[in-house]
Amino acid sequence: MSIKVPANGGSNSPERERLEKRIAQLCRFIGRSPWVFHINSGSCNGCDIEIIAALTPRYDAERFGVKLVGSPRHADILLVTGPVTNQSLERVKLVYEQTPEPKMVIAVGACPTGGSVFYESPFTNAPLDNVIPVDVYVPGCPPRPEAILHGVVLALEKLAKILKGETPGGDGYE
Amino acid sequence: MAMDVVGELVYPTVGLLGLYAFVSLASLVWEGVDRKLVARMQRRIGPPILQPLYDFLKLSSKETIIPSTANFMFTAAPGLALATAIALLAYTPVGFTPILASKGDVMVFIYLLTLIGFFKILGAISSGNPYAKIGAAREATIMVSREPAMMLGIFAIMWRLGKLGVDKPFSMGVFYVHNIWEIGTPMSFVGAVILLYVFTVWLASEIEVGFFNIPDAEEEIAGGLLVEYSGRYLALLKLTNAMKAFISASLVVAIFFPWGISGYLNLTGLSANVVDLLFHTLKVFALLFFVESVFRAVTGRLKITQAVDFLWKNVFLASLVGSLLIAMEVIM
Ligand code: SF4
Repeated sequence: MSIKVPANGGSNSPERERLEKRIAQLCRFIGRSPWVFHINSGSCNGCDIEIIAALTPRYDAERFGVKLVGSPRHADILLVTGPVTNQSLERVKLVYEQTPEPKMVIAVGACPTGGSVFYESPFTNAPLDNVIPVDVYVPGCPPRPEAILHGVVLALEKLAKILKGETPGGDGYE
Repeated sequence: MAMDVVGELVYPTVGLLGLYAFVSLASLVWEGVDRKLVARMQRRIGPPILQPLYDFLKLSSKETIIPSTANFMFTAAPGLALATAIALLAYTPVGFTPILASKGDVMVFIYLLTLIGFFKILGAISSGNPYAKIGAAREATIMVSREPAMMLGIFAIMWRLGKLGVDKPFSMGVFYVHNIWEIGTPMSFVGAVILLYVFTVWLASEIEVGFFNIPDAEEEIAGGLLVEYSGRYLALLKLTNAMKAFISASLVVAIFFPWGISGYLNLTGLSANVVDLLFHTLKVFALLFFVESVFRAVTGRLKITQAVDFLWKNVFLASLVGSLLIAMEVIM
């Protein structure tokens, strides 16, 4: 059976509704296995160490199915640290585009949130939402691992709401 | 004529499909058990047992990106690899004589097993990603180093068991007629123990854990062979890997621990097969516990040159010695 999309966009056709329901059904498994990819956009390494700390046996993020992956292709959640320096600007955009939908972006630390100690530096492009759409901010310089895990939970809750249609979808910048 | 069609076509197909459903589920569950066990060894709580199943469902519902540098083989390879794994099941000893067992099918088994790796390499080099190419080169290197030891061992064992008298020599069903411990001489016992060592190391390098987690090194080459795969294709490849681990472990279990329990329970026919399959699965899990979980928890990755050195200078030599020992009194 082929999927027919009506010419008028057909947002109310039953077929489309059924498909959307099905996609939402499938997507609930993202909540059970969020794989994160870590982008370092010129951070001082403080936040990166806290991200690693969140994966250590003490906090054990793997019990929620969280896994740190090596390629943006495998990722569901992007953890961005650092103030987006000029050198990393294009790379951050590229990695964001290379991540398969549905995806969430978490800005970890004061740097991507507002610039932190690099505030108004001509060589950085903070805040991060000038560059790519951000879903959750985790402030702190650096934030504690608990805060990062909380950020992941918030992102997943937001994703669930987007999939149910309660919140408009992430790409507000297009 | 009609009876023949049912007996020779329908039953094997239904059996293979049932086996495929069971093995894919069992191998995914094992992966979850393995992750839990390793987590417990590291004093962590660990993910739920069904975690790989959730991962699989999530991946198959996500967007699948095909890079602009990729060619046709990139999309075809995951499906072909899974199809090969399913075909391989028909030749895998899983507690009873394989569905399509016939004379000399050990060749088909080895051929299909290496074909899975070949398709993975083909898909990776078709993606156009330099990391995937490094991973493919490493996979090819480690593949040519690990298989000779296994092939030498399995041919020696099959040839020696054939001397004890079987109707289908060099078939995967041989292990359920005679087993390696029945040869009986002290020399052959030592040889069998050495070959057990060879096959466990081969199994570890086949499923690429611990020392041998070289082609998929996540921290080093960003996932290696899998770097460009996403969504559905990644799900297929993960499933293939899990099934390959189960199949490779099945081979080792069939050679060294082939005993079933249906004989003691006086079962025959289908129920005997089911009971033997379940018992076999338990044995596979027990073997994988030592070869995968413990090995993975206590060792780290080797360099590719060290791994090749180890596989040739240590494992292949051991395989040579073990094969000579079990073949000894027939040759002399
Ligand atoms: S937020 Fe603070 S700790 Fe994190 S990268 Fe910026 S300066 Fe470093």
